Amino acid sequence: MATVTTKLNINSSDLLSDSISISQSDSWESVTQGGIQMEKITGTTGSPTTLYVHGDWYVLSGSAEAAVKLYFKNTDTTSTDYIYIRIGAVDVAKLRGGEFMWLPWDTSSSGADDIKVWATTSGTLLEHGAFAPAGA
Amino acid sequence: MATLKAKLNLTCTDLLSDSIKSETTNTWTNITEGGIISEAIVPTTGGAAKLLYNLADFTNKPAYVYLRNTDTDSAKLIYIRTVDPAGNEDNFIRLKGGEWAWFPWGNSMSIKVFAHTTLTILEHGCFSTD
Repeated sequence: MATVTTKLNINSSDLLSDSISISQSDSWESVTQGGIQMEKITGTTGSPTTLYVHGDWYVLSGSAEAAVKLYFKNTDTTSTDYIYIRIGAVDVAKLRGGEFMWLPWDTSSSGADDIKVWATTSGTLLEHGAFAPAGA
Repeated sequence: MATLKAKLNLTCTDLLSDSIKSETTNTWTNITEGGIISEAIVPTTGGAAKLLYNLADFTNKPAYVYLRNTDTDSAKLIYIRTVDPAGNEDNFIRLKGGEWAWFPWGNSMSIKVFAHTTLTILEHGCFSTD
């Protein structure tokens, strides 16, 4: 089994009276499936592209081990070429060109939703990946 | 207006034949609101979930959300739910102890939270522009 390590740094020196400096590292040692790929997104708001089907990743309902981690990055250099991440009927995230996100997807319910995406400009490139433990 | 930087490093050397290494830094120079706080999450069911961030406060504002379950016990889960304008709710993130999430908010739903074990501590923040 493989180890996936992520580290997030958040910094701001001028938003508050004191500076913000957060550094969080998460190392996940039981990964057996996953990877990163680049994909042109041609889906639209009315017809989004399905990236990750919940049924393919769902196994251990209610188990802490059923987690799937998702990574997305809009690689476009134009900030107004948006890519939306949709779960169910809700656009949970809006990635401007160059922006990234990372989230542990809740796949623990058998009724959970697929991950879909759509772009405001057809052909915008999305780098994305999913990582999961054995059995998922 | 303030500057905010968020940087993600993603590495894996033993999943594929080649290693994975991705590093991305996002910088925003127009942040006007935000901060990070630590909060004990009391509700333990989705039906009783607490409103964390209200869509009405952020409509049409670029906003960035940080969430971290600070517990050291990985079994103490925190669930993050979407609430659409019609009031429909759905879990979409599950944070084990020690896990975090970062995403640019889609501005189409409010965000609620509940915990598997009451009083699990969530560190969270939302940064936005006018």
